[in-house]
Amino acid sequence: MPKLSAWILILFLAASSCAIAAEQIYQEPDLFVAQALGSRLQSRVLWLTRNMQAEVEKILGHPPPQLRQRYWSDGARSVWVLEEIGKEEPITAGFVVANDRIDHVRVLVYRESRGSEVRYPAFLKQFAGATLAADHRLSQIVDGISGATLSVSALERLARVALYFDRLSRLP
Amino acid sequence: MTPRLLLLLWLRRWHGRIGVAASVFFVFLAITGIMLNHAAVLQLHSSHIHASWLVRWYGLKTEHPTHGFAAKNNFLIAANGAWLLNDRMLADNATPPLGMVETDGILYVAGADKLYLYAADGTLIEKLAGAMLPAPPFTGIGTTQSRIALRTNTGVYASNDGANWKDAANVTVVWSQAVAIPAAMQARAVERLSPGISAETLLQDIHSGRIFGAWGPLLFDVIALVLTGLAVSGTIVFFRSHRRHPSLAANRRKH
Repeated sequence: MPKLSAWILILFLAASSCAIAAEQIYQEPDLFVAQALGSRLQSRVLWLTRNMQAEVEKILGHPPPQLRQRYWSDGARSVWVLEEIGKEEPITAGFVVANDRIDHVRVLVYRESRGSEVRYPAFLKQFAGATLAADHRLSQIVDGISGATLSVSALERLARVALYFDRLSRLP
Repeated sequence: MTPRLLLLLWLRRWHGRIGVAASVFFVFLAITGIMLNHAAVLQLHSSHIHASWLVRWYGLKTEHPTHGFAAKNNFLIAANGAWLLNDRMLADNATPPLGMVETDGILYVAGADKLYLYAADGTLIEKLAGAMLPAPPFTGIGTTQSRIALRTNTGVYASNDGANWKDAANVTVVWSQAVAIPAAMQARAVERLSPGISAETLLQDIHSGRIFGAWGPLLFDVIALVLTGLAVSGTIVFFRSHRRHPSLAANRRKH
């Protein structure tokens, strides 16, 4: 009988873990921006020209989802809230860029059914200090997570886009 | 002939017969399994099958659009969880739109808590949400003196760019209203907005047996048990044969 109870418990836990596929908000994007820059700044807008769209497409592997990208900046740092699909659903992540380097990253909203381990600080801190190298690659290697390959890849692409956008935003 | 040998012969004969019959399912499960493993590469999630018989099989009710929103020469129609702007499907818009207005060549479409900015060709310019907008839920969108206006439960707000809003309680607003879809667009809209099943969902349901309804998974459970039985009977036949013919086993090892 105790064995049967144990099996029922295992099956219940397995079913519960499968059911966790809803949207998980880890931090509201507005709060992330306010926290990163210390105050509520007016947002700025970056319009993507055809050339810029082509460059973003090289990074993402598909055209940018929108033609106008909103961001926040206090002059020294810029904050970008970006979305990219891991497998099926978009992952919303916030990036703070300072001195052409990623200062920190946070997963704000996760909607995929699996792979949410990318939200852990131990994984995200690998992006800190990364710059944009040749061919819009990251200057440092980000170790993957088993079972979250597509989410890791999506975040890596977003980090490259954030650095590219930051560079564009500083052009005179 | 000993009973044990008879049992072995019987087991071998039925192992073969059931094995041949089960191989069809085995191949079928293997192919669908491989495809599901590579669903992202094959873009199964974004591929939709709109066959009417399949939609009926899934029990989906088709919503026939009758009304849409017009702004200058643009027309927006929503049905079955999808939006169609000037005959172009728009991505990721499951909720019904509240209205559409146009200023300076940009189309503003309001959802319950988001504001979408589109070019006339359907390209998404920006999706606005959160602190950039007045407090949702929105109940209407309109125009006032070349500005956009949003109506919420707390009042009316106007903006020049969709991101910076000011109270506009005492301003006259022309609100976007749903109008009947022109007859020329009707048939095309029904065709483009017909519901579909994603290829990944279909494959998953075929792989698990759910495509056959409530009894499907049970049927596939039986098939899984048959495959387990084949593994057991195959193992028994293999080891019994080797025990009876050690010279055969030794000869195999040499090669």
